[in-house]
Amino acid sequence: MASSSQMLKGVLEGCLLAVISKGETYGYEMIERLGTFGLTMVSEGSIYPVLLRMQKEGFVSTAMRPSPNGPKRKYYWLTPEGRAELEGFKARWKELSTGVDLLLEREGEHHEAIKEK
Amino acid sequence: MKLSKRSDEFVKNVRMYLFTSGKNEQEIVEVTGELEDHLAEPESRGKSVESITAGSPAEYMESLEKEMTNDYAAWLKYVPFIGLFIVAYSVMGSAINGAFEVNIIQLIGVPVVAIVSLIIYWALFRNMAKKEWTGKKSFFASFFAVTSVMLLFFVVALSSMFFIEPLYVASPKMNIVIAIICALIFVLGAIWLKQWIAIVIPILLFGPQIAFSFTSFNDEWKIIVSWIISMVLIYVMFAVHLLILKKKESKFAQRS
Repeated sequence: MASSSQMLKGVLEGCLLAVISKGETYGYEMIERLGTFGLTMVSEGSIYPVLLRMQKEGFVSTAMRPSPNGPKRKYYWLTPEGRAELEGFKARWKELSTGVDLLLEREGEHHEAIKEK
Repeated sequence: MKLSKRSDEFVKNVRMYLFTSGKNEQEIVEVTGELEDHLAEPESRGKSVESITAGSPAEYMESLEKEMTNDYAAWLKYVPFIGLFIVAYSVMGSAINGAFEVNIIQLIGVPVVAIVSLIIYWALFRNMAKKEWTGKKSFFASFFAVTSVMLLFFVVALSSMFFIEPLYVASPKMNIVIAIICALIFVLGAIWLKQWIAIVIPILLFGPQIAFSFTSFNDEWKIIVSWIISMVLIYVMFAVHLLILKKKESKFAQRS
C-alpha cells in the first residue's frame, strides 16, 4: 500500500488532470474520485502542492465559492493548456506502461524458461 | 462545520509559516481554505491532520511553500508602521524623563537593533508554526525573544545616555509633545492590530518611569529600577495572558 502510494506520487499530476477533465471539481472530491479507482494515498494532502503547481503552470483555472462545509471551497477546471497536457500525459503513460508490461511479461517468460531447464 | 482543536491549530500554523515565508496573501487564503475544507470533511469519518501530512507537518508545510509564489512587496507595507512603532518605543522613555536627544549611537544603534529584533521575532514565529510548538514551549521561546529584544534596546538607550554628546537636545515643551505623539502611535497601533497587548506593553514599560520621574533618586537608579519593575510587570502580564488563553481553551474543550 505504502509503495503503490509512492508510485502514484510520480503520476499524480496526470491523474489529477484526468479527474478534473471530467468536470469542475474540488480538492476532497478529487481524492474520493481517485479512491473509487483504487488510487489511494498515505498523505491525502499531497494533492494540494501539486494543484498549486498545476495552477501556476496554467493547466487549471480556479474559483472560490461558498460550500456547505462553511468555508469557501476552491473549484478547478481544465484550461486548453491543461487538456493538451493531459493528452501528452496519456501518450507518455501508454508508452511507459506498455514498456513496463512487456518487460514484466518477458521477465516471466525468462523465469519459466529457467524453470523448464 | 467546526474543525477540531488539532485541525484548527494545524491550519493556523500553516498560515503563519507561509506568511513568514513571504508568500502571496491570496494564495495563502486559498490554500488554507482548501485545507480547512478538506479537514471539515474526513473528520466526520474519523480521519484528521495525519491524513493530510502523513505524520510530518513540517515537511508538508515545506512542500506547499515550494509551490507558492513569493510576494515580498506585501511585507513592505508593514515596514513604515513597524518603523514608527520601534521609533516610538525607543524615544518614549527619554521624552518622559524630559531628556529626549538625538545622538550618533541612537542613529546607528536603533536601526541595527530594530533589524536584529525583527529577525529574532521572524525566527520565533516561523519555528513556532513549522514545529507546531506546544503552549509551554511557545511561551518560553517568546519569553526568551522578548527579553533579548528588550535587553538590546536597553543597552542602546543606556549607552547613548552616558557615553556620548548629543546632536540635538529637546526643550521641556518638545519632550511633552514627543511623548504625546508616541502615546498616539501606541493607541493607533493597538487599534490597527486589534490587540490589547499593544497598548498594555507600553503602559507597563513606561508607567514605572513616569512614576519614578516624580522621585528624587539619581538618574541611573531611576532608569535601572524602573526598568526592572517594567520587566517584572511584563512577565506577569504574559503569565496572565497565558492563563486567560488556557481558560479559554479548556472552556472550548468542554463545549466540543
